[in-house]
Amino acid sequence: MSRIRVLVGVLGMDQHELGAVGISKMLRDQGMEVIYTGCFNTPKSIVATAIEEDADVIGISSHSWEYLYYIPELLDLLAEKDLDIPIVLGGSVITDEDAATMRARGVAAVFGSGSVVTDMVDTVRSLVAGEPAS
Amino acid sequence: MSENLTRSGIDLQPVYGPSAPSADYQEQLGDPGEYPYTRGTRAYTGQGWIQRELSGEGDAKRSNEQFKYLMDLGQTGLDVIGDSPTMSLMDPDHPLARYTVGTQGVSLCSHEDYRQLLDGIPLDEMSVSSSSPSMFMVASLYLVAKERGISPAALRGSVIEWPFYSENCSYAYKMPFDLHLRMSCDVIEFCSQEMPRFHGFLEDTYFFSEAGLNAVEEAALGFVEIRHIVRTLLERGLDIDSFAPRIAILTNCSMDFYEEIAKIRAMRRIFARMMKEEFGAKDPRSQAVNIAVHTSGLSLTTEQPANNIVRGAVQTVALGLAGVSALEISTFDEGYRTPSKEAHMVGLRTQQVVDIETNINSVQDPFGGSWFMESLTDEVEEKVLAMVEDIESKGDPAELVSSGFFKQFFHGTMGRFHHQVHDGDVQKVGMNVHQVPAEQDTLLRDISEEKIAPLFDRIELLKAFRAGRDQEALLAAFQRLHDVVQSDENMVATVIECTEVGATMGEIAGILRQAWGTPYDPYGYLESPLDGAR
Amino acid sequence: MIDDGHRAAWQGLEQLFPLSGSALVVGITGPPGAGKSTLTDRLVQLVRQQGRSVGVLAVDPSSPVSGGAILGDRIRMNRFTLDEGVFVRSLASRGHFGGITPATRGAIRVMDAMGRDVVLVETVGVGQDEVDIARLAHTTIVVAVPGLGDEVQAMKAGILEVGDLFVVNKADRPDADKTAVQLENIFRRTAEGGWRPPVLKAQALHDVGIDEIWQAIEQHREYREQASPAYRAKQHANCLLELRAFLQQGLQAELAQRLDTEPEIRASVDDIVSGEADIYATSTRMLHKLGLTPPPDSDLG
Repeated sequence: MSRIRVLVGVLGMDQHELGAVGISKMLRDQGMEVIYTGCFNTPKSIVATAIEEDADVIGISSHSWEYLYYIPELLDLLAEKDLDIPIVLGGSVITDEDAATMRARGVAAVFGSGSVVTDMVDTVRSLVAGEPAS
Repeated sequence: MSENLTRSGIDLQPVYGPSAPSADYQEQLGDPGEYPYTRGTRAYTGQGWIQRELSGEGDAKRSNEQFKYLMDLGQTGLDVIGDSPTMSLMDPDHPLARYTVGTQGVSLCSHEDYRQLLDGIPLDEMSVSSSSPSMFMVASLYLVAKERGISPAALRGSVIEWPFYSENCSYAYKMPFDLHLRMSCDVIEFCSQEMPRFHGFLEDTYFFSEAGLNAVEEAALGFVEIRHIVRTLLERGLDIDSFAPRIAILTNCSMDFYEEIAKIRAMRRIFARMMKEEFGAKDPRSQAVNIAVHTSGLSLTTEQPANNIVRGAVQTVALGLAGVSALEISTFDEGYRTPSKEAHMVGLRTQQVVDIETNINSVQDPFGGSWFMESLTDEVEEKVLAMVEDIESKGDPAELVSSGFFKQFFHGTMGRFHHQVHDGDVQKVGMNVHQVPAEQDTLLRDISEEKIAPLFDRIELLKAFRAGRDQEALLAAFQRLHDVVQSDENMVATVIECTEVGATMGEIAGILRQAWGTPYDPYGYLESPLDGAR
Repeated sequence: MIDDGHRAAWQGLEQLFPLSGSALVVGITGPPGAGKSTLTDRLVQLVRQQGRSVGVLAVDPSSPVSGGAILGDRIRMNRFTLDEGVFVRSLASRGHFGGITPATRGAIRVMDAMGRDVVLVETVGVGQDEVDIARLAHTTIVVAVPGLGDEVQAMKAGILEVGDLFVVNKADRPDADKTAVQLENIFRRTAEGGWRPPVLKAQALHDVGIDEIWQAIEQHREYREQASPAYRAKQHANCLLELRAFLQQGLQAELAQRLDTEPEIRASVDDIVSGEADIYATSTRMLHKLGLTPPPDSDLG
């Protein structure tokens, strides 16, 4: 039986793990396999892990501004390696404006503060099924 | 006849209490300055608390300017926080550090940085506190004092020791617990000998209680850590009175007005009794603990930032009534960024207004004897003691750290807080009640939402600094440090030697890890300078 | 594909057979909190210092309720993420209590064929079936923690038989010696020509005892290469168990498919439900039809 494999991680010096852990549990409870990479990731380590683990989706949880620098790097690196893995970005510091910027840049879905966790899970499922995120 | 009068000319006594103190009063309360110090650690002085605002941003030079700005505004003490890499013992040129250099605190890694940070600061007059890795602040403070011809024995201030909770609360040293504990104890011992007026052990309950802990949980976890560190120092053969006078506490302050006052009073009493009865401290200065406070960032909102100014004022009043030794207000833009100039000023002015205009400092522990406040103090104390006992009954606290007990605990409290706010159990004006549409919520927004750019230049400058050092002297110093760490010798003196020849914090931390049998760089990017040489 | 147990993957794995067989496969098992992941990290470091490449399979339990899993072991060795000489793959146990799925064997073969000199398999170590790891690994390390006390005696018989090497980790603890002695006593009674599992003390976190553990693995390799009768008997028993597991998996997959497609099977269900046919007789007849049994003995009717 095929299982959706989701890589979940936090980038840079951001040490807020609660969101990442919370979403991981939700994804697991929905029958998915979460490759949990914790904190202190860089775009390079995320991509290396995604390759080793055959990740279907990359989930980034962010509570610091670093994502503004890291996400474009991550997108470029994935493109460079010809990897068509969608990115879902979630976090409390993401303003509506910055969310739009990220989406325009290529992030498949962005969830700012006030987002509903179940929406994130549904989005992951539909992305893997090849549907665009709403 | 006191010096303090109300507006109507009524005399205010420094302390109010029973005319004939009962045995119960002596046992539970005592006058301010009397064991068990419930009502205050010192008898009435007429002075208020040390007023300061947490600072630290960009590089040492910028933060030094911040200090001077705040001193001009009237702050009477200094407190500075490191940026994310600094707080995690990482030099700014570490690959992971890149986008957070100087954005949430000051970037400090070499002695030169500390020299610049403290430039023009009267170290023999001003109390210098820091929320940055203690070993390195102490080493550099010591060196700077000597360079300026000031005796280290005259230095005042504090450094934080947090081996229990730093790994799980955003300041991961990535060191085994026992190494971190050793570092802390070495610093405390060194300070007790070389800098006897300096607090080598500030127990910071603020930072971990921001993980959604309530007052009881905060105090309990703080005491668990204090007790373990004290026991460890006693096992070294130190006399309790040789270091206990320089233990202080930095707590949080939420919006729960009465409980925060009761918490401070209860903590003073718990500390005093613990020191005297359990650890046999004889010196009154060992029993009386100074409590400083940083008001809660978690209690603030990103919506309607002006409301945060009110919150800070209310918390200041509570703390003035509780009789704290020092105070920092979380500024109104806290939700977004390190404090702006404007927010810093508002913070200090808030403290000054309360201090100067309200007569609050005319009377010590005004709540003392209140049926309500004494009952609340007793209950908080009871719950704290019960929780400490419960945690300690689970086994060796060091084991609890390694087994992830506290990590789970914090996850639980954070989740609990999140739900309380989400479900509206905790009401926050502007956030879940009395909201205004985003486009109308403009007051103070432009200041609050300014982002701080990472200091890429500094990363470049560091390369040149590294290359310009005496490599041989460095290597020899590192080798010595490696050997000292593996012995029983106090490592601070050797860390000072390394610092003198230009070693950076990240390098020193890496050598410590390596000497302890763990990887020099736990993130896997850097190689130890000792590996090439062996 | 291997993960999902598709028989189609078997063909791919067959092709890898000639390329495989050279990797040293080491299993690491034990109760939670023993420090397996830290030990794995230190062994990876040691292998890399030898200039060799390593693959790591980290198995975590799947939720029995949802079937999903959080695979977080790789965090403990994430300092090697950018090292191309280290390949880490996280697997979920997918209902297999011992953590070893048919997919694990496939994954080992892939890593072997990739050219990894050493493959470390870290498993969950709870439940009776952690014996499974021994089938796949050349050497199985059981990691224990001091303070087991009398629990050593109570330790599931299975895990004690599985271990080729026992490591008492966190050996700085006061009861480390006691635990080590208790374990040694259990193995004193090893038969002639058999392998007596060494009991070593280590502090994986502080890099203490890792070299000794590697030496023991090498010594075990020498023992294996001597191919004593006791060892060969063990190999045979393991292989039989595994072959059975493979055949079961294959049969179940085949059967599932047939149940879906074979019209006679579907038709017979109606008869059983209506009471016209007997489920025992129907099953006997179907097994014959599937070519698995001789024709039913019609005399027994």
